Amino acid sequence: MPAREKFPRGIARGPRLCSFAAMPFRLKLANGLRGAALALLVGGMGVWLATGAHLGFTQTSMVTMKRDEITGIDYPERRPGFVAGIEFPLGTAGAAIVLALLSLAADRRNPAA
Amino acid sequence: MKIHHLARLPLLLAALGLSAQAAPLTFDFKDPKGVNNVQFNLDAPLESITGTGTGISGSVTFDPAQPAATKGKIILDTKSLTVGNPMMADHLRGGNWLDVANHPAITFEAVSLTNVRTQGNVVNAEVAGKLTVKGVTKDIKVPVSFTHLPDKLGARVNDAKVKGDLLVLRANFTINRADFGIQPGKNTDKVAETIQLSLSIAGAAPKA
Repeated sequence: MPAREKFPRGIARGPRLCSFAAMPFRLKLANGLRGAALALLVGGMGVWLATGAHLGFTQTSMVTMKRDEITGIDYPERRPGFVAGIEFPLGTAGAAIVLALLSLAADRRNPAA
Repeated sequence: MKIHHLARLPLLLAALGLSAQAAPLTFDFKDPKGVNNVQFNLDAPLESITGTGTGISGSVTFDPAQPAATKGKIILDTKSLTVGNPMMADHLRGGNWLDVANHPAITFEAVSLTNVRTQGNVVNAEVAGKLTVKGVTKDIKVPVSFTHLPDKLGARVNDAKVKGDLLVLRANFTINRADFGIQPGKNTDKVAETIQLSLSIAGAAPKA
């Protein structure tokens, strides 16, 4: 049976009509890559927003100001902490674009597509 | 005769006490509590860099009765300078920027005080001195406030038996990195030419 008839296009692309296990490997790969791209994009943006949408570079330590009671000196106390910098959403967006392009390539090679 | 001398004794003691009170005090700025700090800020178009330095030492001789005669030297250990991004901190200490391996200290030596204003225990003045960064020494003027805290050393070290005074120095000023040969004219989009410095330090003068 030709590949197109064995795995009709509509069924292959419809997740409700066809289980993931029944998909050909290339289609599974394409969908997996798209899912990973979306997860990277959302995750990168989410982490960046959750840590304060810092426009500078990533910080791995944070400063809190304290005051010495006797001298009145305000002094910084540095402790480990993570603040995602602007390179975080940009980097994950770049990686997501690469994965999305790879998914298109995998999908194009799919004989059922 | 003896009675005459004895009558003078209280006067002599009082005079000695006054001279001891008026004598210049030498404050040591080595801070075991790690409170003394300098903060720096570079506001470039692409990145605002804020960092801190805590390795401060040095001494200042200060006379509350004659603040204009204040002299001293403050030393900052360049290895203690840091920023929140570890890669940036490495670059900051590296050979292209502060080169801390070859220039382990930034120093400021006070030469003279002008425009001295005293208000209570606070003295404000323009301090002229020599600032040395990365081996380059420049004459600069810095507005400094001196806060003299008599008999506060014991409270600071949580030991009432320890007697002595504290002197708090605060200064906010700017320098230009190009003046000290720190990558002049380079990377100005990411590293500002002007460096804003904020110094808050306390020194102790123990009494025997």
